[in-house]
Amino acid sequence: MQRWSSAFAWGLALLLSSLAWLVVPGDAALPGVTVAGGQMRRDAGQWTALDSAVLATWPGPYELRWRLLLEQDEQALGLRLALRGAAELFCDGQLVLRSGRPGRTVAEEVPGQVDHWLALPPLAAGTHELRLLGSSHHIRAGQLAQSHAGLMPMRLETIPRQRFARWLVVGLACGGLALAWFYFLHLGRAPTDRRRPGQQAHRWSLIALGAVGLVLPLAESARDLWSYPYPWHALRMQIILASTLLAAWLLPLSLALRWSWPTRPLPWLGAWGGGLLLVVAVAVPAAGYDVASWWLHLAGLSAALGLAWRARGQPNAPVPALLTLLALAYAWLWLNPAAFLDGLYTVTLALVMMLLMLDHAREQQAQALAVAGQRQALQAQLLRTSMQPHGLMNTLAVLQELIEQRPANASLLVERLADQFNLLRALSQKALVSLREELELARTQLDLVELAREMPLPMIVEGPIDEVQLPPGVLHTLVENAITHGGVRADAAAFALRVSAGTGPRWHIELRSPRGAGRAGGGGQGQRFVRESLAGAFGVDWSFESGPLDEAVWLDRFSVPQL
Amino acid sequence: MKLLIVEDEPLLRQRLLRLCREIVGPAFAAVAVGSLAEAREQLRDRSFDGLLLDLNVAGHDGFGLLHEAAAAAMHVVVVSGHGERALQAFELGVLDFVPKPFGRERLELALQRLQGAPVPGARALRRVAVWRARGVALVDIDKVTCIAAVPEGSELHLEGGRTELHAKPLERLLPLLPPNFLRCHRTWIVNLAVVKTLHSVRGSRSWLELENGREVPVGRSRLPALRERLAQD
Repeated sequence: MQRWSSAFAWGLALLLSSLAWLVVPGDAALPGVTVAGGQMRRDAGQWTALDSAVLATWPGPYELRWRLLLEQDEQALGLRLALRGAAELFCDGQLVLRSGRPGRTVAEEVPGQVDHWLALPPLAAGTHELRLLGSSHHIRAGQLAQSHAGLMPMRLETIPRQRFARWLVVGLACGGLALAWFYFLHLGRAPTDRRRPGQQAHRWSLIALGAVGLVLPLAESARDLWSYPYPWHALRMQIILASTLLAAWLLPLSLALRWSWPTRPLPWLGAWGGGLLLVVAVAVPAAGYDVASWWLHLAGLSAALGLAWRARGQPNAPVPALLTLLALAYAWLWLNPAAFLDGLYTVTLALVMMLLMLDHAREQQAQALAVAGQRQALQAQLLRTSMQPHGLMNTLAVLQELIEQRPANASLLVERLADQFNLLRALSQKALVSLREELELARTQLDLVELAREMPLPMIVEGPIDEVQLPPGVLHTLVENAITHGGVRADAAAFALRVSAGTGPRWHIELRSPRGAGRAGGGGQGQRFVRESLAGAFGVDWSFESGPLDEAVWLDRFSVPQL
Repeated sequence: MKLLIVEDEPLLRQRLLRLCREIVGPAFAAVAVGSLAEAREQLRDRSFDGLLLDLNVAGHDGFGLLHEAAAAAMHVVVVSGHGERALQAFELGVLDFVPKPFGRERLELALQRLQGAPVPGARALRRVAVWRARGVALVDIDKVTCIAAVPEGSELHLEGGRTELHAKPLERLLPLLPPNFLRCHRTWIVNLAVVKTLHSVRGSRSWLELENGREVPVGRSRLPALRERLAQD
């Protein structure tokens, strides 16, 4: 129930943002003002109906004209002119705009801005002619499938709102997107959780998706917010197309990595990327950048929806909210493609990224609690094992005998016991300790046995023990195991610890202990503790083997990553 | 008193030997071993009056040996740091459980009990170890109706009429039994919970009729105490 109310909230956020995008600029239609009859010609030829595809092939000079029909006098009429070219615009023969300088050659032409917002002179009711002299020498042949040329009349005072207001909505969305992006970027630099090998790839897919998501609105808004010389237009469209292509590839990828699908991702990723490139290759020459972008969005959202639907049974995942967001985006893509391409995709992506960020934060929190719980359990287990009744009570009984028979040794035993408890207390509070610290702890145990059995128990150490990091109690437990299983006798082999560096980079650690008579298999409490501790510290990135080497020696071998 | 001491810690083995010798005096004789294998070997080859057993011997569980020893004629005293296993040990019929660390007084108490003195607070056994063809088995003490002395030890008569053999003689077994078991004859112990009627003919013999119809003889000297217990119940 809670998951669906959350889905409702996220869906509502997208709906309201989308409505704001559509409503904030205000009504663009002007009653009583009509622009009609767009025509074009070149070389003083015949006028023909304005055709964007044909115009894209004319370097110029060319002429365009429209009729402006006014039902009443207009004192403050504004106009938006969109043209990929240099232009001089005349209203009833009067020059009202010069954008660059049209010319007969590339050298002669000075490129104009791609968009202009201008004020027309006061006009009386009736029909007026808007005529444009233009050239587009800086568009290479085949670079643009269409060259839109358009006029949009508007009230002069509404120009700032029409031009800037809707980007406030996208700006807010970009704020959320940037927040999510920085969150994942920070995570990307954080140490990897070794228990989840695919998690790092998931993080980086979200970082890439966020970056693409931030580039897209920048490129989209550049036209309204700053305008630019028209030769840059193709570059901007290519940036938008490339960003859209990447977004369509990364959104399903990040969702797939979230749930580790498929198990062998590389062929699927390659096929998916290849399919999207095919869409671009077919759609751009045939129908232009916007149509290609629309198809890419359609493909990306469809794949994302499919993956979210597949994950609907996943526990503790925000699947209902994700499904709602993607389904609404899908609806906008069909209902208002232009609005979706211009800004609503960014709003959708920002909400999806924020949803994934909150999902990730919640999961991290749950994981942190689980890890903390596991660590506490291991700490408790280490202390419990070290104070297990048999060992502790035996030591106390030995102490009794020493007090009665050899008081000096009894005093030493008490000191060693105190050393051991102090070390145990200190080390059990750490997640990782150096092998040297571990060795000190194990040494206190050997010292206790030395005093109890009145025989030397040396340990031969070889290798860089300061550099190896281990969860606390591992070595201590293995030494304790050897003692408990009766390996420590006067005629037994010495303990030997050897550390060597392996590839990976990894540490290989080998402990040879005297083997007690009849000690056969592993799998006891001590070995379980060692395995759980290594898994808690290193995830799946460790190995541990334990078994008899021969009649006299027991061999514990493990490898851990170099940190 | 001849004891077998099973303890893997050399200094504790030494302590047990020393204290036992001091407590028992010249009559003390012992074999002390540090592994279960050595203990089994000793039990196979020799007879002992008692066994002092650690429950964790060189990483091995002493309960295996305890099962076997509980069915034997000798008494077993567990000396262990595993206080939480005391109840389980008593249920198998150990005579006493001495928790580590232990002082001279506590060990002396256990040795006194080995020599027949009652130890207050000891728990009664719940299952009694019996010898069968394939080894040792455990029988619920509640299923035992009466116990007869036989040359091999004690013969346990069970509810269904079946009998089982336990190596301890009646006098060693009785201190381990729950309070509802009473010595009613020189050669019989009866479970008062299954007594139906006490038949007594003046100047002649007395006997108990059990719920399963079995008759158990009652010794003349034990009749007053038996009457008193039956009146209480």
